[in-house]
Amino acid sequence: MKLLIYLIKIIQKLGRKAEYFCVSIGQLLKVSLVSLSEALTPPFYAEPFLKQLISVGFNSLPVVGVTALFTGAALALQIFSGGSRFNAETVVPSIVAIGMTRELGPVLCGLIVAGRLSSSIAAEIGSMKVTEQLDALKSLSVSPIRYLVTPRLASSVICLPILTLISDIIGILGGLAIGITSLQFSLLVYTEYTIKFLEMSDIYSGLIKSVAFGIIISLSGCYFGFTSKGGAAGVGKSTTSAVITASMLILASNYLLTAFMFQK
Amino acid sequence: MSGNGAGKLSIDRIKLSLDNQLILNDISFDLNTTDNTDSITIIGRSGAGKSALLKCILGIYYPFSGSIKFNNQPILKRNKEIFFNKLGMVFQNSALFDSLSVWENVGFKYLYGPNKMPKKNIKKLAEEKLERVGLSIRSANQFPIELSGGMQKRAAIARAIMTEPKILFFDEPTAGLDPITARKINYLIKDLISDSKASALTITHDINTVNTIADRVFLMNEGKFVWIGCRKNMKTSSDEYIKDFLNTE
Repeated sequence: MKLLIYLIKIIQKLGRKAEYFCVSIGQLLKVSLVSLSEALTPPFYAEPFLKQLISVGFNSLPVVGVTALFTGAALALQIFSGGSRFNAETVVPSIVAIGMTRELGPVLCGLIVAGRLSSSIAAEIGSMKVTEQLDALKSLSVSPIRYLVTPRLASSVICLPILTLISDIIGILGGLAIGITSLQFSLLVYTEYTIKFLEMSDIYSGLIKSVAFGIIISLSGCYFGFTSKGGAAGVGKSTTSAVITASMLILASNYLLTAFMFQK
Repeated sequence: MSGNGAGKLSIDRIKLSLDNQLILNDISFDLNTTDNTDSITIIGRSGAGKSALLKCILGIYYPFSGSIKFNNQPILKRNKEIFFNKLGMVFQNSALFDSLSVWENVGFKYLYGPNKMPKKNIKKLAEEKLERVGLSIRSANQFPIELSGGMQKRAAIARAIMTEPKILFFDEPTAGLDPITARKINYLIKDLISDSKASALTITHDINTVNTIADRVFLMNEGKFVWIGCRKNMKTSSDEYIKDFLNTE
């Protein structure tokens, strides 16, 4: 009998978790659809959008750039060391370029921006919620989704591909710097091998991924901000959840998009 | 005082439940804004359901039964827009937007709401409203965090009166203020109500606010109105709830 009650309690708990999960997914979808529909219909708020462009794009540049530079450099060293086992040192420029554009550029850029942005969006909207600023927006006839979510979503979707492109370029330059200073490549050879094997589809695929990551980052931050509860501690919890969820979704969607675009 | 351009706000038998707990139970009243200015004050202890009632009227919470109507129409879509254009709200913690300057907060409805105006005119009007509530023009360019609690409350009141609304809602207007500042805020609200010929619904547990601004007083307990009457009749009432409230306060 005790075992049965215990089992029922476990099933109840699982049921509640499943319900919470389904409700969260439903709410996230609702926020996404409303944001999308409001992004396409007036009024458009130019000022919050421009502020977000600076916050997402310009302010993320240093951290994205530094990450890409060292990743490209480390990748060149790793491939040179691994490739030398079967006399394939010459593949370093091509693998760095393909690795950066297809995978490391978008994913690292996505993860770095997720850490910066999802947390700050969740914290900002969360603290607005607990201090009744979201209610104040409604009382002033302004939709919180239009005013808060749409500019963040639009700026992330625009900025992430640009940041990814910059990350790709800096990563390749990082590899080039190590290639010509430590790995005995000449500038001409390294550049030639980079360009020779790099296809436009490699760059496009990374940019497509980055658009998806931009949507994930902004919506995750907004969703956890809007669902914040219980004062400062609740806001802190939302911030952590936003970053973890965005990071996991970025990695999962990266696999799905890679499988969709490259699996033959 | 007649024909001030607003209408009647009717709350009819609303019931609200949050987290499986009954918060509002069969609440009904009318706030008349057409013929005479009306100042209703809802009093009660913390957790009685006062703020929840206000949030129902603002469409932040949805009651599971009953109706909230403005001019005999449910507050939905078009009617909601008309209703929201006629109201001004002061939140308990002022709820000023941290990332905007004080004048942008005050002029927010014109900056981002449906009735837009040129920025220069908005700033000028916001400064006038700030002066009206006793704040200097210098404070217009400051950020809310730079203001004291009393100044923030005044800025929130300036935001509420920016569009010259005919219905004003105040949620605990003196909460967190020292007695002197609280008294000043009470008198400011009283003046604003009489100057703008607006009707007001005030949520409070401060008896001084009641004595300064109320015409009618509704005492709320566990989600219900347990006493309704004129402010002047409060002290002479033999009702146990009102006696208990007055003694506690």
